Amino acid sequence: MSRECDRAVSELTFEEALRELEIVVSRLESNDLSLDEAIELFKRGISLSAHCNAKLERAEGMVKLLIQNQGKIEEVPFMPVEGDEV
Amino acid sequence: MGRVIFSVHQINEYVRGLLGRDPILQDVWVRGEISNLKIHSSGHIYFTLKDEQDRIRCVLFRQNQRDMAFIPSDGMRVLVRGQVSLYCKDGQYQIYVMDIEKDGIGELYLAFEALKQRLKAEGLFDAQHKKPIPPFPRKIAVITSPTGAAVRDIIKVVRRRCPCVDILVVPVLVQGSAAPAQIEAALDYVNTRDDIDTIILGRGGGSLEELWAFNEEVVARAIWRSRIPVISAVGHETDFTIADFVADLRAPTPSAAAEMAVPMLQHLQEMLAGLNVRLMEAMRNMLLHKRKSLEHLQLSYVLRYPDRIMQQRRQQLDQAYTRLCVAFNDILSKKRERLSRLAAALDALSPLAVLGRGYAVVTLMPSERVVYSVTSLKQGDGITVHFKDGCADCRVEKIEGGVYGVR
Repeated sequence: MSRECDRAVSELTFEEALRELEIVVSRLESNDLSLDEAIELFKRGISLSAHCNAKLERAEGMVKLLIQNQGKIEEVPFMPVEGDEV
Repeated sequence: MGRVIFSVHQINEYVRGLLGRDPILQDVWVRGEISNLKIHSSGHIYFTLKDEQDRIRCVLFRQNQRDMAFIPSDGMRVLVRGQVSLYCKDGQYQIYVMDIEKDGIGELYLAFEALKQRLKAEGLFDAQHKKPIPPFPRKIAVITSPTGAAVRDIIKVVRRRCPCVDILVVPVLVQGSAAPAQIEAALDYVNTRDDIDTIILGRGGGSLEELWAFNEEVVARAIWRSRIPVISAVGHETDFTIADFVADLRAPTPSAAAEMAVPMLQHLQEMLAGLNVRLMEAMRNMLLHKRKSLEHLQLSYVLRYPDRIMQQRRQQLDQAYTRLCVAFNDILSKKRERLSRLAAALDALSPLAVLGRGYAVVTLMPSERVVYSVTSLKQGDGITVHFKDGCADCRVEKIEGGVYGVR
């Protein structure tokens, strides 16, 4: 079993979840598991897949502008100015 | 003394001839600043080249403008190459320009080449130091001018490809003397954060001078020490800066940098869908396989015809029993045979057989002990004489001898 299996799916980054999903699928495809193992893996695979999908379908990410305000660094929402100036 | 009178035309022609015979004036480079520039409707460009003291008129014909890298304008410091000759109509000499380039470019270019060679020798461009660009970034930092087209293009492309990625715009001047230090500080600052996966550093296109900040050593070194992978996107496809050589990845344009920095959401979704199909398929196959194994077992001889197993066992038992009996009888008959052999041998040794030949056995009454010798008898004892076919009770009348019997 890969080491990630010890961690809750919700803690995984997209990249980690995707990589583990690949491993899970490959193992299931290898056909050398007990039924109980296979069912456990399948359940894990389903939740990994759902987790990845949820990450992808996350609402639009933020665009922030870093500004210095009286010496303090702050982040404010940023909308680029339309126009052609460089 | 007679005067020699020339016409204006003759004099101008004479001077033109003089200028035309001078080897230096046929092909000279002149440095100066452009003023009074006029572009005629014919496409020819007329201007004055001046320095602190003097000025000289220049003409740049349309046919010599083909390889020109920029449009000259007033105030521009340039180097012109051409032939000095006289324009007879005005009686003014001028430079017939063949080439024009921006003054200082030569020096900048030399500085660029020198720094490039030095940093290259130091190994700052080596491929083995290039960090891979994270395939699935969560947040990218864009170090550029917040008002430029570059930041707009990058945000647009990131939004289109993968909307879920966060963007942090770190505003810097991208040209001018303050730019290098700002870019350096921005790179160092972003590297103090732990939420940035990739940095895009860049600006839109511009002249060599405008892109110069990206050729500064401090910028190159800041990119070099960045722990976070840096994608450089400076100017257009044809512009190469030192920053491009040091960066982990060079993008031809800011938009291309955004494409390199974030994956296509659609591709990710397709990949995920593919994995999902494989997951379902694998599980289905797994169950099918297990079910088949089960069915195979269920169809097996043992489970289908359990009584046949019993029959077999019963038959085995019968066989074993038969073998047991045979073996026992065998042993029994052998024993019996041996017994009868022994009995025959015994019979041969039996005293009865001796009696058959006329001998008799005497026993003493009432002990019934066999009498072997007369010495164990005395007169008047009762004795029994055993014959082959019976016995007779007798009384000892007289005893003789008692010497030949040993007992």
